[in-house]
Amino acid sequence: MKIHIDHLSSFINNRLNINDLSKLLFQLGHENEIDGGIIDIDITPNRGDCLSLNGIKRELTNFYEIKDDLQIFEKDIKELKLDFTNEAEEDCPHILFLLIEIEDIPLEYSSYLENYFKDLSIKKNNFFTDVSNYISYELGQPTHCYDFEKMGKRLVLERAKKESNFKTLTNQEISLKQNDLVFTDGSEVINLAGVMGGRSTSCDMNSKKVLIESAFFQPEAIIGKSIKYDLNSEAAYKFERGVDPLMTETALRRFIHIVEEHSKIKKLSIFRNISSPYQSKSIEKEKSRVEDILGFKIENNKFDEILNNLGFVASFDAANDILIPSFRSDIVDQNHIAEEIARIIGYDNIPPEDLKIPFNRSHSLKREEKLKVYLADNGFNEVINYPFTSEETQNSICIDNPLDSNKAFLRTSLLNSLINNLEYNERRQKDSIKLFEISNLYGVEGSQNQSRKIGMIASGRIDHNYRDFNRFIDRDHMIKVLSGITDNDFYIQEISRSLVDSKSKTKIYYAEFNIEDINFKVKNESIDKYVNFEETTFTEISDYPSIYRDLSFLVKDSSSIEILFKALESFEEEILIERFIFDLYQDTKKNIIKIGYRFIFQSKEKTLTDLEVDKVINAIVKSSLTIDGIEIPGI
Amino acid sequence: MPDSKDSFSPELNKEIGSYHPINQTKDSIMNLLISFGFEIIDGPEIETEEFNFDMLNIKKSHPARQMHDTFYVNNKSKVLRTHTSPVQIRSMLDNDPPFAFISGGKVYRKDDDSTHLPMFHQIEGIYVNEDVNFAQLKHLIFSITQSIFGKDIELRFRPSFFPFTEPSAEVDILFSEKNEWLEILGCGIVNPKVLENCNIDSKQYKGLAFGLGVERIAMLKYGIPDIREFYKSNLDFLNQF
Repeated sequence: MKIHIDHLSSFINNRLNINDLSKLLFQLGHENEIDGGIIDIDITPNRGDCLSLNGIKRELTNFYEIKDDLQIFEKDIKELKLDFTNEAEEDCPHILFLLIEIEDIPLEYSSYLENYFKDLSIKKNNFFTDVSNYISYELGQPTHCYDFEKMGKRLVLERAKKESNFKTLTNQEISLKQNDLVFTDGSEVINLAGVMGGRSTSCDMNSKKVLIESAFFQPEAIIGKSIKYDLNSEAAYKFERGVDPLMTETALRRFIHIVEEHSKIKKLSIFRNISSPYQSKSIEKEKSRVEDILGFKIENNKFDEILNNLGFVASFDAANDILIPSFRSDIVDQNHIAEEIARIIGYDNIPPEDLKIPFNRSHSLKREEKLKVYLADNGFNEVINYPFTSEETQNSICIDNPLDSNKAFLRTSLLNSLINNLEYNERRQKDSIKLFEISNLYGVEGSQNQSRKIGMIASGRIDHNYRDFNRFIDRDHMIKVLSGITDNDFYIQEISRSLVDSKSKTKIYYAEFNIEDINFKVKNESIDKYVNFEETTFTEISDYPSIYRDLSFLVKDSSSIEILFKALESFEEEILIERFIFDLYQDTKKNIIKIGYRFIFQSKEKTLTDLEVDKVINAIVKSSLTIDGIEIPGI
Repeated sequence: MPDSKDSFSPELNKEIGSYHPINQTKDSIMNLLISFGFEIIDGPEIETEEFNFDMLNIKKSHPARQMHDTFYVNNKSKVLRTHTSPVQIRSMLDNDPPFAFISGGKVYRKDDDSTHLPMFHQIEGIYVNEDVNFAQLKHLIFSITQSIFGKDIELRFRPSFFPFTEPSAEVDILFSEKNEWLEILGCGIVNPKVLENCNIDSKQYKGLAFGLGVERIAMLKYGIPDIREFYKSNLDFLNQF
């Protein structure tokens, strides 16, 4: 909800600083953002009472001296004879209608009314709708204005008996469902109750005689309607969160006062339908319980003062009961009172108290943690995938409301997810891919048919070192890895390349099995290497292709090798992202060593050109050749 | 010249793989909580509405229960759990207080945009005993966050609303580089209705509870700007952890 600091300042005797106000609202539980003179407040769904200037003003009473000088029309109002039937008294226990007719439509507004539109950049409509919107902003009570001249003789509030088409005052055509709470003229719907009025009876620039509805709708009768019909309705937003049941008549009397300031009123009468008057609620005053909940002592006077300033009636003599204000339907028990006290004191001002949980537990490495450490040690990377798939199997659980039709089922195997992960990385020029995922899988029996599985997929080079660079992952390699975690023979599947859309041609191997079937043979005492709170700073990933260059060094003097390695490892260039020995050849007879080094280049900003890469390679070559006993054949 | 009798073998660099950063973060926090005295509990990801919502005081009319927020399965007979709290409900029904439980795992919400994923990870904890209070909850939250982000962090506790806790708080951490408060977790004193739903005498016992989003913590901890990175399975990403 957006409010303007100047509008709030007019109620407050002290000078109001917007930054202090913002901070205080945070303390009170109202997240907010400042935009110039506007504070945009995110009110939690339990605090519908704060969705107005008046509501925010009440929140500040413990901190500022607040003026309480709301001007309303106080005279008696003649009774209106209206043919109204309330067939939904449970949804709407009280509703009032005010008939008001003015002599002239005002051409200018009073400064406070004009400023409301100007300061919050709100578009004006017509006089009555404008006043209605202002009242909702000021007091939190939505009102609806019907152009009386456009109405039929009857007015009925009911749960719709049949489906019907309805055109809203904003010209949206919607198909109302049976059981929606609506106002009808006896046959046609003229208002989707508590959400939005209809086009047929809406006010316009010429409306002088209007019927103003001010009601208390139960939140349950309104919830979900604006989303269901895609209507942007502030009234619904407020009714869904609960309005003050005692505000209906005050809002109308405020309405009259504002109209009176702008035009001469020719006719005024009121109709009241109150099937179930508001019953005040109280709660036992249990200060010690509140102190137990919060963990600190509160002075008696302070306790009462905080609550009284928030609109409660609490006093030491008042038979130990606290009267809950009508606008606080969220207050039910002592925990709620504790929150009120804590909010005003400030959560940050509550001193922490040592907590000792009286149980001793020690962490013993679980099977899955051991498994992950073992696989990571063997070069496998853990992935996590969404469970949604388009593929239906006999056993698939169907999602009733999927994100889209390609995600309508829960996967029953990890295979397709891992194939997708493999493909993604192959298309990013990765030539050694080893992935695994551990996840629950579900079948049609739901939680009864749950299994926890691991899937492993691998393809490409075994590793990026001189021993394994030219060796490729095969069934034997998979068996070797699996032999560390199980005695059982698991089915290792070769996956057809036709299932993968990439240029790679290396064989793909896959294994999937129940976590329960793992029989650990490798001792693994700690996961600290992988799981810790140490700093790891993420570096942004490049979306541009990488380029590699290989250099073959001929070493004729063994004492030069360390110098060469040091030089190559310490060579720094932003685009040089990886380097490793991919080949090693020793000719003991000739006393020479040949070392194949691969350098991989990639930029975060662009696709690299050969020229840019060659420039770095030339620098590497140049610096290597300064080392005695090092040659690069062909250069 | 190289010695012809000894073969030359430089160190064989073996690439190690990775433990997913989300699971690293989750397991680090879970292990920390175990050291505080919490016990790990587990439960199904496909839940009944009763355990996912009703028992947690989330009314039928609550917006979270609408089809646009929650995934329903098998003709609306069950939901993909929207939080790990139902795991706690199940354990509270099976145990007498005092107890201290933590549950961690995947949860699902019907969201999919640049800042919200349809699946993410949560860790939730609950401690029920006779003398539990809000001041102790603050101490616990300080202990958890200082272990993750360091001793010098500045926290802000502010009131919030969760149907299952009262009083409720959201906790923000100050990132001094940006001078920005970022929300990291929610917590509160367990709503007495939830205790009663689990047959626990709310006059005798009180509970404290907290819940945090693992992705959010991992993003802040590692400085990852985009939540979607976690689920691309990109080796250039995974290998950094």
